[in-house]
Amino acid sequence: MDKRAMHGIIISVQKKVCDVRKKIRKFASGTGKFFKNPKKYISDYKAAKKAIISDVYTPLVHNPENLLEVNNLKMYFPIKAGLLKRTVGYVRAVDGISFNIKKGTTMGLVGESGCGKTTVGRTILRLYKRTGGQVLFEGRDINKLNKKQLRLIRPKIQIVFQDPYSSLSPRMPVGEIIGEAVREHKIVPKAKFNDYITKIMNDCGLQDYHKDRYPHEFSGGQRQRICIARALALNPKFIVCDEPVSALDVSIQAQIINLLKDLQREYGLTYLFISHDLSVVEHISDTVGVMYLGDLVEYASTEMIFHNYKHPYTEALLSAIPMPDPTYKMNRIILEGSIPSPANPPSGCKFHTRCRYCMDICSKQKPKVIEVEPGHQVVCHLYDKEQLNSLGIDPEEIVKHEK
Amino acid sequence: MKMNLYDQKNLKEEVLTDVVPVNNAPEIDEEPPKEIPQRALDDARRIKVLSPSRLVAKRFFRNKLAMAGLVILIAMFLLCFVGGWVGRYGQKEVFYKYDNIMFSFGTANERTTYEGYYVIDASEINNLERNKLNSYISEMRSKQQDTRNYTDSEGNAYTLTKLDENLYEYRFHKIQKTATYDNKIEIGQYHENINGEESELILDGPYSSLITDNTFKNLVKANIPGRFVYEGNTYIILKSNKIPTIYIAGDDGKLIGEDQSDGFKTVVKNNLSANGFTYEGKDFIIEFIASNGIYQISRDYGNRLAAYLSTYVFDMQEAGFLVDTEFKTSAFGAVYGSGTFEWKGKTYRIMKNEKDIIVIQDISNAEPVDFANFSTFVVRRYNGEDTLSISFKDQLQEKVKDMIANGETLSQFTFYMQQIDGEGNLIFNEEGEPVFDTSVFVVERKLDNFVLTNLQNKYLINIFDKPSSEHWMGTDGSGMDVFTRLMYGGRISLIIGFVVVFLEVILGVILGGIAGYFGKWVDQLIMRIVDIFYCVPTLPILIILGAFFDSVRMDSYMRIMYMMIVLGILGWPGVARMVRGQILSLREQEFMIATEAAGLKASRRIFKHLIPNVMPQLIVIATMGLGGVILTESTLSFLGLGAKYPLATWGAMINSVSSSSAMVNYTYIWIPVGLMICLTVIAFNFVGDGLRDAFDPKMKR
Repeated sequence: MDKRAMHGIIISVQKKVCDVRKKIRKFASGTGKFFKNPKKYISDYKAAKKAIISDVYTPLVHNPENLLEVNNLKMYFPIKAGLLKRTVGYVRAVDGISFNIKKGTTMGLVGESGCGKTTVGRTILRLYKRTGGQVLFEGRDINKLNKKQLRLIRPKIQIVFQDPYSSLSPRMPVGEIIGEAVREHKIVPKAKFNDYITKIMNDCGLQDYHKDRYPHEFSGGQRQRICIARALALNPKFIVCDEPVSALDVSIQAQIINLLKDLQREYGLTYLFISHDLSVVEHISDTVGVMYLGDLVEYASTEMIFHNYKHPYTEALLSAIPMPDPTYKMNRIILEGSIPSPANPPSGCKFHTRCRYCMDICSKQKPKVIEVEPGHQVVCHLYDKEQLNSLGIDPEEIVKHEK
Repeated sequence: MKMNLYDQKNLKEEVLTDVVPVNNAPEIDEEPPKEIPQRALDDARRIKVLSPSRLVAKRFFRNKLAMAGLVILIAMFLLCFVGGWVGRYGQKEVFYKYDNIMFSFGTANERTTYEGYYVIDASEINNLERNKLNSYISEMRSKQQDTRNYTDSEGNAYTLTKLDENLYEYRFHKIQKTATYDNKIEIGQYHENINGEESELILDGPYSSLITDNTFKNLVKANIPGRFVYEGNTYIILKSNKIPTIYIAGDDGKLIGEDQSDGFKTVVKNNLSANGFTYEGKDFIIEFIASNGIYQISRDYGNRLAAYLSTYVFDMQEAGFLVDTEFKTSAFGAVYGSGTFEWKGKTYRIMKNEKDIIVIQDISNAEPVDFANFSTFVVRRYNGEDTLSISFKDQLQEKVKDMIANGETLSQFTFYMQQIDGEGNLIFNEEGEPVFDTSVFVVERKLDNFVLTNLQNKYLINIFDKPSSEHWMGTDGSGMDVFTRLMYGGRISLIIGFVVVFLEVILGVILGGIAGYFGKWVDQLIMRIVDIFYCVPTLPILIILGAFFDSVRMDSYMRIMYMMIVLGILGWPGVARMVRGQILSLREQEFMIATEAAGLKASRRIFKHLIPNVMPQLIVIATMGLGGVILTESTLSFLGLGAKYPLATWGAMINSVSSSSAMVNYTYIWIPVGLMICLTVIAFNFVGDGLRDAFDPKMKR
């Protein structure tokens, strides 16, 4: 054999041996640490975990105008691996978002698929145990209620799911699906129960004789009505509509949206309307939050969002709305690349990897929440004038240059 | 033509006149209902509404295979539960029948052992001696002795004398110990040194003169122990405690015995030195016993006839006539005696006939009548009654002689004999005459015995009977009705199936449900338990348990109970796994999240939402499992580990004919049972399949 080749092989083997040795040493040092001082090891481990999930926020002062107040809400899902199922990381589905919803209004929550909209809705309902932050419903922190109190407050916060096919138990007649929780929470006296269910069903556009039928006999729109009726029957104050129309065709969508609007007028409901369909959101919402990768990047009234948007992501999102006018020239902004992994989000501003106004600072520093107008919050360095001035950058130029 | 035309015309006219103008439109008397409920085409009310369970039922009933299975199952249930109840016979009822079978009739042999015929007052001979007699005779025969004398431990003397080859006389000389006589008085001791040189006599005062008497000393020395007479006195020496004691016989002694009268005592005193004496006509023997120095007095009863030992038996000319021992001993006595004897007022004589057979003739009347024969050829019936005629015996003896001569081991002969019913009574016809029947006797030689078998009508257990109108599937090896046992066995098999599956499902649903609903470590724990149960080998455990149940002799029903429990406990992991999997997937469905959002209680969420959704799979797995359990039970019973005889189960019934010869010969027992097992299992599987298809909403017709 050639001497050189021999030499190469020897070197590669040596390297591999070194690697293995390093790994063993690392493992040994880890276990050694544990056995040297287990208490310290565990406390260190906990501290490291805390450092990842920094649950630091200023507690909210309840404003009676608001029905729901969300403060720095975080929902991390642990990624478990290995034989012992140790947590190796977190999927940061919701990474510290704050907003308020006033009584009798609708907030729209828009964003790409997988940006954490549904998680926000479910975490508000405490269907997931939140990682950090606060959710105040009528001034009470939902996450601090005990089981009994939670059960009592459940009827007041309801949810309508995206998929009307899987959200109804297939072995129960519709009347029972709607009335089950009503009976459980004793919302109406027994004598009035039937009339109450009939009324709710009529309000939601269902007929009395539908009571004895099973979900499989209904169309998608009707099922969504059943879901809404189920939520409504508990006499809620707040309903999380988790993409309630995305599984339906357009004509049914309109019916459902109008139904929701009518019900809001009639019962004085408050909605959190989660959707990726911007036109629907525009139609129903009073305020809109735009989410990107677990962050709320822009939050303002509907009008401001749709006509005076600030954030580059909102800009890109709105440019994708199709116009029912063939002569209109669409000026679509196409975002490069795909949405980054929420388990390992980009540093600084999470959007900087795809932002067309990306500056140096974007990848280094997290942007602050900036109130550009009253009631219009943007999270972007472009509008942080003090910082840009200190760096000597004119944001107008960057925008113009790009356009 | 005219006629035709005319006819036609007429016809036309007729037709025309007949035709009445009719308004085809129906006359409307009633007004239409004012409000017909109008429904649109897509109105849901137009469609017949079916609940999910009804839909399943509808789909199930359309499945022909499943329906076939259901019909089979219903039939099986009716057969097993109603059939057993309605049926004529009991599960453990054993059937009997009369049948002619080749059955042992008796044995015949040349008699070689001697039987004792004891005279009436010979009962004093103890059994020990009686039992030895045959060995004594064989000893005599081998030594070719004609007489033998011996005594027993009590001093009785016996004499055996050979009269001829087949007849021995047994005499008994009885001697009975009646009394002892003790007249010794101690007078001194005889001291003897170890060397024996300086011996010394120590005697009481009156006899001290004898100490120096060397003749006396030598007599003492010579008679240790013993007695001697010296100078008119009798001295007795006894060796006790190493130092011989010297006694002198006194004038008056102590008599111990039944008769303590002075007369008897005097006679004893007078005859102390004699061997015997006679007192009041009785003979006595007197004997000095040196070891204790007393006289033993025994009564001598004399030498008397005790018994005859003979290989002869008496063949009566009149079959069944019984004679007592007195007759027999008298007859034996007459053979080498006077030649005649009397018995019960009749005189008999002994003579040899032309065949050299000793014959007893009744000579009470003028004409001598043959009464009995001497014979050494014995024929014995198994039922114990000696009702065989001499002619039968002669025929048999000839046959046996032939067989011995020809060296045959198996032969047969025909004999006309009276018919006998099952209980051994003679059968008579309507006129009271005995019914004769030819009977073929098979003679089989077994060493020196000739065993007779013939066709006899017996009351028998009706085993392995062929199917008939009484027993539709015949009877089994224990004479029980197979069809009845089939029905009862099915009962147990089906009950076991249902109970075991019920247990499995209950355990499985509870544990699987808990694991699936609560998840996390509870799930881990229960699933590991499930894994352990999966690892446990079922059959060895059941075999061990079966052996254990056998060893404690457990009751059949208890055994079945325990078996059901064990099968249930071993079977639940499958169900638990299935339920857990289903619940895990259901738990993540949006309708379960909706129930949580609605704030329903955990119990309601489990029982109203989760369990109904698991139900279809559960029903299917249970139905499929039933067949399996029935098969397992049958297997266990077949291996003899399940239900025990006489309790019927299908497996046990097949087990009863499991040997290869029985399987070939008695197909009518195991084929129906096997079919029942097959049908039940197949039917359960069909129904289970049908249910699964019916529950599957994606399945198209």
